[in-house]
Amino acid sequence: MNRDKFKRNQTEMNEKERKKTGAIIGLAITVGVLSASTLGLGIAYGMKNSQAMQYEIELENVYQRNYYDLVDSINNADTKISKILASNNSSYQKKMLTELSENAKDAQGAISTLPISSSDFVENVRFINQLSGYTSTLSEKIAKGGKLDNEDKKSLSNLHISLTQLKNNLNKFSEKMEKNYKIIEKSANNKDINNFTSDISKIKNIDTDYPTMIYDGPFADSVVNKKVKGVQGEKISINKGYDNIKKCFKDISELDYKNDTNGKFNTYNYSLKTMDKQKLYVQVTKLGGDILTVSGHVESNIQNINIERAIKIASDFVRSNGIENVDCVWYVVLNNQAYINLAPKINNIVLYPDLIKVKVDMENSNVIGYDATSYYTNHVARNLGKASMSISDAQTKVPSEFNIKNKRLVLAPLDYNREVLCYEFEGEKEGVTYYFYINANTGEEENILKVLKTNDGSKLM
Amino acid sequence: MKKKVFTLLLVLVMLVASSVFVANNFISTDSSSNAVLTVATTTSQNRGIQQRLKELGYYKGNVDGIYGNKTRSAVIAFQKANGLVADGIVGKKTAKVLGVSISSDNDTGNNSDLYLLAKCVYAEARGESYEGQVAVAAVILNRVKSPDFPNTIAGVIYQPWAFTAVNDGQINLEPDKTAYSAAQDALNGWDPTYGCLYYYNASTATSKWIFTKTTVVTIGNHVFAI
Repeated sequence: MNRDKFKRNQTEMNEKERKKTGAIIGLAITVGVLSASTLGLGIAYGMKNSQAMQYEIELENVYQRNYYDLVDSINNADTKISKILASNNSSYQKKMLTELSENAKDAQGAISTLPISSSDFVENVRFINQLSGYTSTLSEKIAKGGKLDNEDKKSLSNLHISLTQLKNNLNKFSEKMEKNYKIIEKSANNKDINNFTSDISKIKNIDTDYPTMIYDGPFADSVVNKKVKGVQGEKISINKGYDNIKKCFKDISELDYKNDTNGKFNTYNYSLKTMDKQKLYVQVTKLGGDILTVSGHVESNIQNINIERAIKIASDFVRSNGIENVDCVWYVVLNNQAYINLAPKINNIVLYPDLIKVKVDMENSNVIGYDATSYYTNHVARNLGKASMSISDAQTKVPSEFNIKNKRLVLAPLDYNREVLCYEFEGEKEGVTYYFYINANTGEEENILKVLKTNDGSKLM
Repeated sequence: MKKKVFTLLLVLVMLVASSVFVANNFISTDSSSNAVLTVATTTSQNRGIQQRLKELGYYKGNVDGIYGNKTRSAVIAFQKANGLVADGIVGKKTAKVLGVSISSDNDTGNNSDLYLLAKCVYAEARGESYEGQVAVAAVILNRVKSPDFPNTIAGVIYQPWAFTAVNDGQINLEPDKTAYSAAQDALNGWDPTYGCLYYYNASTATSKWIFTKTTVVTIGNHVFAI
């Protein structure tokens, strides 16, 4: 009995011992793992931290570089404008104007990468962009045989005053930068206006007044805020808008007025659902009640119709909206949808400024997109006059290595609100198609478009 | 008992540790997925596809360049027979197995503008209606033309603090088909806002100056202004 008891006690003791040892080992392992993971975390955190610091330094360097690029470009631009005003030689003026325009572009590029957080700086940006646009327009004027007249010189000397002020103010800010100013620290908070924005915005003094640049060129107010000329007629009611939409879309299941757009165009906006459950957004002009845009997204899986049929559907849609006599001037098939550009014709002259774009779903033969904003911006009764040059004479202006496949008389919308009567020649060279626009009165080559083939169709550049 | 407690503790420690790492890595969004930009093929490419399918005995119709039901079924049959995803679309893989080229060999224009624009639309407006997405893309393009903003699509999109979704890294999400289509429409000239340069979410906007802009139209949650 006793021996048995002793044995049992022994076993119990062993059991206890084992448990104790087990617990100690467990504790040791846990402590080990805990400290190892803490150490690991600490190292990882430290690494992250030093990495973050490295990124910070790199970003600060990028900011500093862009800031000093901006200063350089403005300093250079200021020197060039004084040289232009001092010179009497057109070709030298042209060279300086081109370089000045490039300096302004560089300055704008530098600004756009700096962390400026609100519109407080916008006047400076606009001034620099328009300076670039204005000087390149003047340079082009000289290239075409023109001269800088007194008016131009007066504008340039006004610009010079503002530019010098901008330069001086920037250089004053540079003094601040030299005292260890860190852009990244000053721009850290993403509020309405960060400190860097308010600091750099101060470079424009209240007495700096940027002059208005009146020209037809890049970034000109007249180009950006082009007036709408083609919207005509009486103001319609919302209900009349419903009627007009029903004229163009045959299978409507739901049609609801949503709200208005009051901008360059004033429209009533409707949401439309077709019988096959396609959702479309339709904008109708308040004056005249014309359909201005239709947008909608549909996934088309196959093509049940060919492109000729799609063009017919697009032309019929345009006609049901009251625009007659249109020609397809360009199309691309993308994701089984046809993007079709139609232009009206008068006396067989294609009116490119009045372009209308239609998107047709080639699976279900529906119009799923429509954009007539160009048409209603530009369409007016025009007096086109006659071409004083013959088409065969104009063709001699196209380099002879191009194989001419098509030719016709068109009204071309050229840079910045200019509409010019041109002969259009479609020419091919080494499998690449180009369009040439030769002025039908002067024979001048006005523009060249190149057809780029992409994976998803062709586009014009 | 004690052992169990320790094990539990251990697991907890590991969990905390891993969650810290997850939090640290959260920002690095993966953008490596290789989305096919478009599934479109041109008429002449379709002819090539039909010709090849005909030679292989999958297609019995005319070689007319129209990607209709017959062509689609033939493509699906070909894909099934060759262990490809049978979606009826001739993408890069199917084209390779089929032995046809779907990219033009000379003078290929690039799609980077479309891709960037679609990314920004998806990041900024993926919850919006289609016209709301076209409108956002149009605002970006209007800014490119405006003297008050950078002069390239990339310049406008990546302008510091111009778009919240660019700021917080959502720009690196892969865009969907709707965003691509909206970007494409805007590049083609569609603009339901008629030239707006700004938009904001009326319920979340904090900036004061944005309210000084003239409202042109409200589409979904976005107020478009000039």
